[in-house]
Amino acid sequence: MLKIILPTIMMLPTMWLSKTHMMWINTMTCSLLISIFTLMMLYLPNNSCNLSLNFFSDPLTSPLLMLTAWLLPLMILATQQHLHNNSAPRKKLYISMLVFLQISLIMTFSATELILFYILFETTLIPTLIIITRWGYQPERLNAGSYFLFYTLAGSLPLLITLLHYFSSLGSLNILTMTINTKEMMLSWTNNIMWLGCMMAFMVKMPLYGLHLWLPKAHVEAPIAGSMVLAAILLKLGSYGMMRVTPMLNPLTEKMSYPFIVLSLWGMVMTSSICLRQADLKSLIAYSSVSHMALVILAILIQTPWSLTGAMILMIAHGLTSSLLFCLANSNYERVHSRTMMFTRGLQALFPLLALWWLLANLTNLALPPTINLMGELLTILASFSWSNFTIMFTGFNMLITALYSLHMFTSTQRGPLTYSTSNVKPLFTRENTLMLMHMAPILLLTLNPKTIMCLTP
Amino acid sequence: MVNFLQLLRDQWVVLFVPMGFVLGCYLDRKNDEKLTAFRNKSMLYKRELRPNEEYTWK
Amino acid sequence: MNPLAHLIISLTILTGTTITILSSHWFLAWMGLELNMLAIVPILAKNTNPRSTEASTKYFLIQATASMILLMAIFLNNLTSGQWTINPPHNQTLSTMMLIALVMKMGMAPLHFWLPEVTQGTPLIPAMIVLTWQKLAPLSIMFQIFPSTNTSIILMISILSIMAGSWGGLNQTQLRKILAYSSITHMGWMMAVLYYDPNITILTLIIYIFLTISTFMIFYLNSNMTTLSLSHTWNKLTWMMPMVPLMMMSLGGLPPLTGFSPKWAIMQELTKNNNLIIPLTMAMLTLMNLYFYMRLTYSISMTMFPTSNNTKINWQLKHTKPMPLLPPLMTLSTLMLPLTPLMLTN
Repeated sequence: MLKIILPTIMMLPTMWLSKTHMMWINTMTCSLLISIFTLMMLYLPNNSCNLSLNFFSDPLTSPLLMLTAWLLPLMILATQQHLHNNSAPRKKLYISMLVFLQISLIMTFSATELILFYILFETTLIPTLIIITRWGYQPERLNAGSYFLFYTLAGSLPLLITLLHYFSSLGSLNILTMTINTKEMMLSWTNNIMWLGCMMAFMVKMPLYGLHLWLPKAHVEAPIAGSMVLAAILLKLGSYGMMRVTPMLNPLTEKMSYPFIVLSLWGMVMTSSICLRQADLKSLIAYSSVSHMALVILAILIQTPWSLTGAMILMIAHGLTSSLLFCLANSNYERVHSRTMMFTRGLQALFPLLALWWLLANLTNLALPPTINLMGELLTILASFSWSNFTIMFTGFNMLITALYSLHMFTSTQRGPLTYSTSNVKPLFTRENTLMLMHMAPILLLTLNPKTIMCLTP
Repeated sequence: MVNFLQLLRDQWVVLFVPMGFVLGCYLDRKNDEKLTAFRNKSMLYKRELRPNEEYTWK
Repeated sequence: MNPLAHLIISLTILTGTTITILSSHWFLAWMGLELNMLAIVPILAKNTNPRSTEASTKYFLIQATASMILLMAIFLNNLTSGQWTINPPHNQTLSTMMLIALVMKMGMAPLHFWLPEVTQGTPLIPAMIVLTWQKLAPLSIMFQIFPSTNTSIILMISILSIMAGSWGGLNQTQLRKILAYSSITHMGWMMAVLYYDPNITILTLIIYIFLTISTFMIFYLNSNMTTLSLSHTWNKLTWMMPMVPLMMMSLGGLPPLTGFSPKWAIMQELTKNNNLIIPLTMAMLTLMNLYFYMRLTYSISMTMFPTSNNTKINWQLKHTKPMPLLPPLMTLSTLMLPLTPLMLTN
């Protein structure tokens, strides 16, 4: 794992020592180079796990690692316009926050020990918090930052206590030896509370419907890079953690998961319906990611091989798609200076190419057939259908509403008459087209070979 | 050649990341050797040693 | 103040604490406490204004009361056991009495009300001494008598302190008061683990002292007294901007920073003894502390202008208060978490 972590750390001196006019190019090149290095994580001969004493990677980790590494150049690409007013040291500070976030995310996804995982899980809060509260747009960003921090912390302190308790009763919290080390958890009050303690942290992070209030706030207030990394990776920390912790909680999950499955089924319909009546573009995308993550929660809690594979595919697909949607919303914002869909209407006439990207993004968001989004949703929905036939009411209805709001988002931003305020706008930069292409290309390429992200068993 | 030197002088900072990668690969390999040193002592992974092969765990 | 007098007073403060820590004789330990208290009173009253006189009087009255209670407990202890050696007293009542006296001296709940008032009344550096150095002597006695005290009382006091510190600080805009409440919370954490592993108490104390001193040093550089005045920091100490949030989060105990390591150790020790609810309550209450530190962070560095403002170029002027200790202190108080296993070996 050091061959990924060390170059990422080396990005800091690279950036601080580069000349100001070379800063973006250098960071961009280096981060792309690192994301190429991470492709090596896919190659795991004889189940070697890239093991060291502290870090490892397996087919569950490596797609998420690649997504993390791939997102850094995209974030750097996306923030240039947002930062152009800032002085050079502040730009560098911003990028160092992104790099710190990247380092801690890579280490979180590959930690072998659950306490180490917990510490790094919390580490990711600090750079994200600074990005949101320092570089957000409005004064409400402080409030959003507090919500983000305290929802996550209040959810995850019980996790720490539970992990420490397991540590003192089991003697080790190593993820690799977890399956042979654990005791069976029987149905008792203590164990039920333990289960809740372990799961709530990740449920808050995902977020589950009812615990999701921090997410739209954070998304609306965060600058573009913050939104991107939040939607694409930080939410996946929750699902990753759930997948890692559940082996410890068998066979209790079967019994305890009912209310949460019900809540996520209900929540995905609710949040999709909320999307239908949103006026704020970023908030709409945020609620749409809550609804997608509800499907992931459902899949992880059912715990069949199909559903876990589906969850994995959905995580990657949603990561790329929602990040793309946020980028698109940001390009609209940088031209029209409003997130309200009413004011950004009719942009197709001005930016035909942007309209194409919007179309593609919305189609992947509503899971159009060849994309991996559809594949993930199909696997998940089928798994939940075979778990209980009634779930199809909610999941099917959710697919319908997802299609509705995606198309609503598309038509209300792209079609219709132009507003007067959008008469004097810059055209789309090549940088932005590249950014959209770099989001879209992995989605389309993974459609050709989804095996890379669906192998829970090597 | 002169151009190359000029390029190196201007853009030496980008060398940090590849250097980090090489160093990381080296350290990872050292670590792998350390972790697999006892492999031919275990019953599970043991194999017959070739004629002039040494034990790795000495 | 006359430098010679200042020197003598400072030396007395040092000597008093040292005597208390080193002595194995009850009376000598008490005498050290008294010496220390008498010497700090003129330091607290250094600014000759009514507010600091009031603070020093309050400090004197509280400490004297606590000392008297302690002295009475010592005499009664001598009466029942017939010896002056510092041992955990066999009598439950006596050890509770000593506990109450020491709790009063350290400013822990429910006897904490004087602490914010006294710290608010004094200048920054004396306030720092009250919040750090003055905890050492009572804690060292606590360290020697804890085996005979009642665990439930200790745990109750510690949880009460954490509550008082976290709720009290929420409503404050004065920096010294905020730090006093933060000290109450930290003392609560220290006491909670005292019965289970006193070494962790010492670790917590050391890290708390590092954190508090570096925070005070930062405030001292600009003579910050209120949250509002903190928002001018960007103008004077531009490079402090990225560091201060880290310091504050470390003080609140957010994981990758030093402040998390004592909390982690304490929670681990308590869960090892099958105590799950208490550490959870403590951790949840400390989130409120984190909230008011975050509020300081917001006013220091999260609400700067996006572009640099050239109207007041104070940052170009030379600093009149050189702080050679600040960089190492800040490094220690943010980056020490990976060293935790080294610090915990007994």
